[in-house]
Amino acid sequence: MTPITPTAEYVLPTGLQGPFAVSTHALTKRFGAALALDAVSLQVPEGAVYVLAGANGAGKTTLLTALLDLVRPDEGRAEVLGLDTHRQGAMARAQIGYMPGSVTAAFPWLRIGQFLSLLGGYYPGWDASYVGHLTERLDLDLNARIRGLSKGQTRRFQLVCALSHRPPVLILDEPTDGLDPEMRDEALGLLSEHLADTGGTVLLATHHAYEVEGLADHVGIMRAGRLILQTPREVLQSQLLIYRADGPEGWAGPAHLDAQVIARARSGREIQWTVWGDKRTVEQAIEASGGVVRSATPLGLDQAVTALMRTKELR
Amino acid sequence: MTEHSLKSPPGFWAVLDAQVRSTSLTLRREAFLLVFLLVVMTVGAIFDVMLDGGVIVVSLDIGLLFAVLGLMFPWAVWRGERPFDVSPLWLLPIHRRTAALARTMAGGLWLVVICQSIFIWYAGLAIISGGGFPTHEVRYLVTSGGALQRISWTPEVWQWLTVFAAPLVTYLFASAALLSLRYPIRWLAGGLIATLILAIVAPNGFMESVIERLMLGPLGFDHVLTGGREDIEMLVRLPTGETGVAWRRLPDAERWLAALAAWLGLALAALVAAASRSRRL
Amino acid sequence: MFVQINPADPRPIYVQIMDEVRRGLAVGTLRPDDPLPSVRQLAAELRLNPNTVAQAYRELERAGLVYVRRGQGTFISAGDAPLASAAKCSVEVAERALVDAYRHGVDVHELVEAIQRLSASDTFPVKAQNR
Repeated sequence: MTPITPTAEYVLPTGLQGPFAVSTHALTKRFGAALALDAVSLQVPEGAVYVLAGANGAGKTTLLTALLDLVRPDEGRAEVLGLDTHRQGAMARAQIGYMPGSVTAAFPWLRIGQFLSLLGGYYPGWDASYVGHLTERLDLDLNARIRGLSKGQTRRFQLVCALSHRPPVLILDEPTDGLDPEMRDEALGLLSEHLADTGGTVLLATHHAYEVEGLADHVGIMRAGRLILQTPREVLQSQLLIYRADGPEGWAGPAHLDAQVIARARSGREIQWTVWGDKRTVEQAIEASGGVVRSATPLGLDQAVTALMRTKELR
Repeated sequence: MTEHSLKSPPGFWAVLDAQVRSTSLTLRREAFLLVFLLVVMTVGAIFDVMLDGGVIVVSLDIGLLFAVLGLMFPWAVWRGERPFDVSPLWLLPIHRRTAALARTMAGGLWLVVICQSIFIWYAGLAIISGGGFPTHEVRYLVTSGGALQRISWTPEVWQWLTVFAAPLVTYLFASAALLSLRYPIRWLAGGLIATLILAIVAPNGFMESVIERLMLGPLGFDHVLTGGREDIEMLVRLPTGETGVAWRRLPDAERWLAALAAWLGLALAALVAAASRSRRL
Repeated sequence: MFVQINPADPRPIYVQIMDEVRRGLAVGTLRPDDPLPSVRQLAAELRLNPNTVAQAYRELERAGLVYVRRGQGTFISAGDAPLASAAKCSVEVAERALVDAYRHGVDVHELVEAIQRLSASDTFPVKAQNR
């Protein structure tokens, strides 16, 4: 079930509770010798805002495009709302609003309004007034040519396209990339409203987890094609803590913490651990070794993601 | 989420409708270019007719021009799409084969409209100049005895239809090539080099016979391009003493239809096969 | 909007929303039968996940601080619960101070003494009011 082969003693959780709006089953993809996806079993619960974090080249974009059936997996399969993304590709894509990670916009000679009106032809139940509302909120001129859009405008236009048909599943690749702070704020507000109105699911890949801190309720972390962690936000917040402890002169802390140590730092008589594990267990272990735990505080989403991404032992 | 609350993909006619609108916007540049060319040519023709006092007669050869247009047209239709990449078309909630076929159909529709417009312009120009459609042309027919017979020939209605059938067939073949070949230029270059090598290596007359079989003969491509006029032509010494063209037999609608059906079928099969290619990386 | 959320705060966001409502009750900016913004409105305003806001409202309702009138929205309760909650506020402030004191190796007596000394001085209360 879990795609992680434990080389460390403790393994981060990668299984979630269904039903899932998006799921992949041991999805593996090689590009030549490079392993882009290594038995990834993504699980995005229905109604979740799932943040997929990871460094460039970790496989996020490959995973997202696989959900649109643009990647032929070597092994495994993917489902969106129970629809096989390959065998029922058209039906699956009808449920998805997709914002690509790159800024190359299609049909540069068209005007924004023309493009959106064409797009409406492919989505039964297209609501032109809602699309008008979106373009207004994101400050886009319907008469502007796609060719002449700045990077930020192109990103906003792509976001409008993704939201336009009120899809039950939104797949966003770096949605805040290229947006100025004001427009990023507006875009996040639109996402909040979209969620409140549709009760839909959002899967978004980003390097900037802090930007979506208020929206995210699930987190997945990818590294080198692997999904090393997949968990609800509150589990992350209760399990991944920074412990600050001090002890008597010469105190070196417990030899063994019964948990997954992500990082350890020492300054003077204080030792700092970043640990994934049960809080009571960790505190007792520290106290048993003669230390005094001064604080045990959860990390912010971005800090947590960064800490987990850095840890080389987590494989 | 339960099955019935899933969003449904569009029906085929909705897709075709959207593709017709999409291609019309894509082809706008080409349409402007065409209008510009027609205006220039109209001006040129008017000068010609007024200065030289000549007349313009509609020629069936316009079908060849249309065929070349059909050959290049897919690259205009698919401008902005990248058939072997993350093309906007492949992101739509449509089966990808359906998407490719719908776009090709929409492009084909515009090709017919464009050819018809050019033809109407051409015919109009010819009629105004006093030439109009050819009637009672002098032709030579080689009789079964080998003798030359002078006949008066007026092109039949079906021969004018060949003018529009030719570009459709070349368009379908070219579309199939565009959709099935990741690197069409390389294939073209490769094909040319292979032909060259064959021409050098193969025994004398081999290439000629291949081309002849492909172009002429009962199902030759010549039927599609010209309605079989090449096939029936032969060079003879005319009674006037010059070397000229005589017909082996009269142009034949049934032969044309048979060859057209064969080539159209082949083109459609190639297109469906090309459209079915996987677009996944 | 009366609610302020700090993503860097270690408290979960739904707890922050609840605490903000409690604070409103303690300060008096929220009174019985005052309406709370709708889940959609608050979520959109603060760029939050609507589920988080809904969770906060659910917990507030369970605690008896708010009541839901079908089709009309969420309102502050009139009973004793809001008053009790206002009283609870001081306990929470004390809790936070204690945790912080412990972190800095300050014991309870030192903390209480420091608070009394500070509040008695002329300068600090003025600053606190200006804040």
